[in-house]
Amino acid sequence: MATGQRTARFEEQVLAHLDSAYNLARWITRDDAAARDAVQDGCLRAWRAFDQMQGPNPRAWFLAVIRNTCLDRVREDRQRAVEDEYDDELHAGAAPEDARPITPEDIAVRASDARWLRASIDALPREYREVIVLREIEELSYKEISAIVDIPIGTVMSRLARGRDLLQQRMRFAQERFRR
Amino acid sequence: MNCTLALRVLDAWIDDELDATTAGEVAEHVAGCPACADLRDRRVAMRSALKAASLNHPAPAGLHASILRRIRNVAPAEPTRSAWQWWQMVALGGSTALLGALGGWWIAQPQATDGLPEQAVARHVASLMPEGPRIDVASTDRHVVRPWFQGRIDFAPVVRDLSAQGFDLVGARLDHLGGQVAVAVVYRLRNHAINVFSWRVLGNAAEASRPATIRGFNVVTWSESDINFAAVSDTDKAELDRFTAAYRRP
Repeated sequence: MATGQRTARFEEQVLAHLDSAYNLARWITRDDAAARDAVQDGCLRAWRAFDQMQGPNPRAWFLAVIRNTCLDRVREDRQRAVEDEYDDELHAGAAPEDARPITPEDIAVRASDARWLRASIDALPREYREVIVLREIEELSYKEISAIVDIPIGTVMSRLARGRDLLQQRMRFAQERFRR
Repeated sequence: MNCTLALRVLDAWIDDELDATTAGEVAEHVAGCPACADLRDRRVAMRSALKAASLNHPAPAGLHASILRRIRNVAPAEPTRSAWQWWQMVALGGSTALLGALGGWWIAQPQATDGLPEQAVARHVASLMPEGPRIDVASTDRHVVRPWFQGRIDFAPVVRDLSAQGFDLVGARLDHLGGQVAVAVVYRLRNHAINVFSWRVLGNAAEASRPATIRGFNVVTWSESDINFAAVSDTDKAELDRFTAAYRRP
């Protein structure tokens, strides 16, 4: 296939999902620059492997490539891997907080505050974080998540359940923290 | 259904991922179990909080364009000979009458189903012009040839000075093989052009130093650390083997 046609097809089938790809990379790496680098590298990988793309779902295939690229980068960065262990002290600082005393009104505002929710999800271990992002933000089916993360559908189900449990605990924990 | 079982599939139920029978059993259980109903309510509340918060990180402006730029850098140069693109159109159009009329010429063109040696010979033939082999960077100095590929491909091509063995470096060009971008380094032995193609291994690795003779051309293919190689020439087999050995020397 001529390069021009291949590029056009790649844009239409794969790059059309660039927002999904960046979103997933940003949630896995938890860093703007790292996400950007991972997506660029992942797109080159996808471009090279484009002829071997299998299955009827280019988006799921592309997200799997992006995820693998992110994990390779995370693995290279040992410090980041260590940070995957949840640390209350560390992540307390990730939530938007200021020195002013916390009022009940603040709690109500914070509960709907996107930044605060982001920090709660960011604090989850990666294996739960990624399935929650794929399900709640990307609205993918269990079958698609299973293909992207390369785990059985039963594991998708149990990881989502466990991830949501953890997220609910974090939300309650943070609210109690604000109340004190 | 009891609580243990219901809790195990509650999330899949909320996500509408259960078969109708199981979903009916869960619904029935939750309707009569305050504890499970409470968990469902909390899950639903959390989901609407997540939805309302718009947690999506959209791709930054300019990322799409910069990716396309990088792809164009690693992609093979657009074919300069219109016949190549024309062949693509014929292949896509699938005009059998035209195919019949062009049968002989068609066979001479590389096809995706062809083996790597066949494709290498086809690209070798395509590179031969009356005035000499087609090259993008003409130099007998490997320190000129090799850096030319920086930013154009994602591996460092092997370019050796083999003049002592009688093989003069002519230059190199970007080509494509096996559906991928490839480097072709061109040498000359007397009047014979030698193309050494190299490209990243994706899928089929070439077998260890496999010689073949195709349409009178000699081909040697091999793989080394994630790179496939194919050397093609109309010189005789012994000379090509000598060349390959020199080019591959550690």
